[in-house]
Amino acid sequence: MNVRLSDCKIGEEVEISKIEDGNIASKLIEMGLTEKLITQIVLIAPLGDPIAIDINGFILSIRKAEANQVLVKKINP
Amino acid sequence: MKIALLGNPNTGKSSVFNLLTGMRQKVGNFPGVTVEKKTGVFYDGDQSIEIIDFPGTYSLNPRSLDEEEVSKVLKDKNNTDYPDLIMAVVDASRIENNLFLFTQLYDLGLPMVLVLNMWDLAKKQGVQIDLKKLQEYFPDITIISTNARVGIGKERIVETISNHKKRENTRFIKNDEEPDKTSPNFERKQVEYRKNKIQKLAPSFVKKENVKKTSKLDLLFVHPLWGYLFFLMVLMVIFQFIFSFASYPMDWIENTFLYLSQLASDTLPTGVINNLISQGIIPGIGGVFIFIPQIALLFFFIAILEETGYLSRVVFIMDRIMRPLGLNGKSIVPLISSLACAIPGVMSTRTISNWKERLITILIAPLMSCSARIPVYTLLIALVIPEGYVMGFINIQGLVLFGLYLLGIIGALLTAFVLKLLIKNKSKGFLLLELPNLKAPVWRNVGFTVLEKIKIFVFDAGKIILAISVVLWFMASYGPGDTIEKSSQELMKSNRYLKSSDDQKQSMKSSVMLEHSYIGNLGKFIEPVIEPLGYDWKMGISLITSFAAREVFVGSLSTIYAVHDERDEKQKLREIMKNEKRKDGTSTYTLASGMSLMVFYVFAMQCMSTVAVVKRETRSWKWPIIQIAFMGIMAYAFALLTFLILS
Repeated sequence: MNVRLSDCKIGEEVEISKIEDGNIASKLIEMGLTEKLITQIVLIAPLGDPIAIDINGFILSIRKAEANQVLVKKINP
Repeated sequence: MKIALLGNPNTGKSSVFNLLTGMRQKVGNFPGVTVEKKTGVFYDGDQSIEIIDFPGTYSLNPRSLDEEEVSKVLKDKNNTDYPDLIMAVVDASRIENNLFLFTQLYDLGLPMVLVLNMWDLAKKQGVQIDLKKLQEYFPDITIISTNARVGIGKERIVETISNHKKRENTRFIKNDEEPDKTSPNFERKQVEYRKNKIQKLAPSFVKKENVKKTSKLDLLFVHPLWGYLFFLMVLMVIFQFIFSFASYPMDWIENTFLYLSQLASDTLPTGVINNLISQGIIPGIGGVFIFIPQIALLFFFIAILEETGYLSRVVFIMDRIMRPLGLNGKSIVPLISSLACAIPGVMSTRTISNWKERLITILIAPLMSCSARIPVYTLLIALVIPEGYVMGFINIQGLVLFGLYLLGIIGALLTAFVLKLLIKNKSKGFLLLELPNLKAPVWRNVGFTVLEKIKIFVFDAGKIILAISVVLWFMASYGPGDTIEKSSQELMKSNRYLKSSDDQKQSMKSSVMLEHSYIGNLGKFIEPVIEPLGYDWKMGISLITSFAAREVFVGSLSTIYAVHDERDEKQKLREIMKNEKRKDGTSTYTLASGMSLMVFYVFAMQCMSTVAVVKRETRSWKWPIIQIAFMGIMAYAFALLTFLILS
């Protein structure tokens, strides 16, 4: 079942299923947020926004508004 | 030969640049834009090679002013900066991610050298790269590995450049592979295609063992309590240095220039040239140099914070707080710097990629009370605020000083909010921020950053500061017609003058000269405008001369009131000001007029150096003029309000 990356908890492993078209979709893809990527939130700023995600060892921080455009599938342990 | 140095941010690109060029580098701008252009020269035998360090970028599809300039230069063969060879720097430990830009550069078809930097770090992190395999995919370029941070690889890089391979018209993405240009969403499809191709190939040449994600320190840096406390502590250390330790070299610079002025005035033949040099040019240059210690110290610390990767953590925890005000997490450094001095503050806004957020930060920075306002505040507080305590322990004078700082900060934040609503912007703000690995700073890079900022300040802003100083000198030394001459002759005949000592005579003369100079006339001219605020023409003169620098206020008042006691000038000045009466016999400096004057200094843009820097950073006179206007209106309105409430 798809959920939004912005709704995920810290440390939860997820697989990206779709990046919705938007003003920075292609920027996110350039930075490595591609479909089928296994990722997780590694840091959350004090007020819950922005968040930092792990892209194969490259830590990228994005705002919740951007994370909201990313649909992910949870990987069950 | 001309080489373009390109790569993602945080790949150690500037380490490679510094390694190759050493001191032979200079900073300028790309023609017509504020994007910084660093060029340097190094030698291969007798052949000199020019290298341009382009801003770090993640892709040739631009999203900031910096990135736009990179793609503009590389796509235009007739551009003066168009290179003969591209040197791409890639962080070996994150090669897969860095390959996006690299393959885009490869597809430009220029001769190319690939520098796999941070080779040791990659090994340590368990990243193994099969160079042979990588070379098979990109056969017509040379690939080398370096550790530029520790200074390894210079000879190899130079050698590789001189023996670079010819390109054989190979492309990573061939033309017939490209997605259909007419299809909707072409850009996204193009990006996806490239990224997918890289991801498919990558496992054949990169092997990774459990890559470390974030360090334990990160949990402290972004902690809701400890994160902010730690940041506060860092700031306090920086301020300690800027406020207390910078004052020693600043005193030294001031005294040196006073000595030079005196020397010039004593040795040169008397006349206009003497005055111009000793009272206009030398103090003008001194006015530029006096800021160097603060600028150097501030950028020393900022460079360390940046080099270690801590700065991006600060941006991470401040972003959400600054956003409602139209600012960015990255605005925090310039604003805090401006509490010391707005000049380095404005200069440090370059890290903000969104133009609107950067502009708002520049426009509100001078509202933060800088250290030059302190002498004005302390003189006026001592004059009109009674000593004593509120609630038994809070010093009233200290409370007022704190209130003035707070007023500046609140004013700045509210102005940001208003500007956010007024300034139109095409692109929506977003944050795509890399949190690089935490690492020890490279001192070489820190040193180069400090030198570079000082150079920019001295040569670019310095010119304007010097010019305005000379204009102010002229206006304070000369008056319309022979009024100065006549009035000093009148003074010399007066009883008051004849009874005075030589020292007193000298200061009475300066006082009369200033009163009848162009500035003095201007002060009287604006008196009707500033009268509602509770000021007279003498304060008007001081307000105008304050434009050279706010602390000049104190000096101007000393001249006008003909204070000549060098030993305890401030004490004496305060007494004279206290006894100063208006025509109707009431005191000039009351609680109302004094507070009104302080509030005026909180908001008014009385600093030509800041104007010069804002002009330089925004590349037009439009924004500094708007800034002078809205700060002036705020100053006048709030000073008037203060005066009306208190009187």
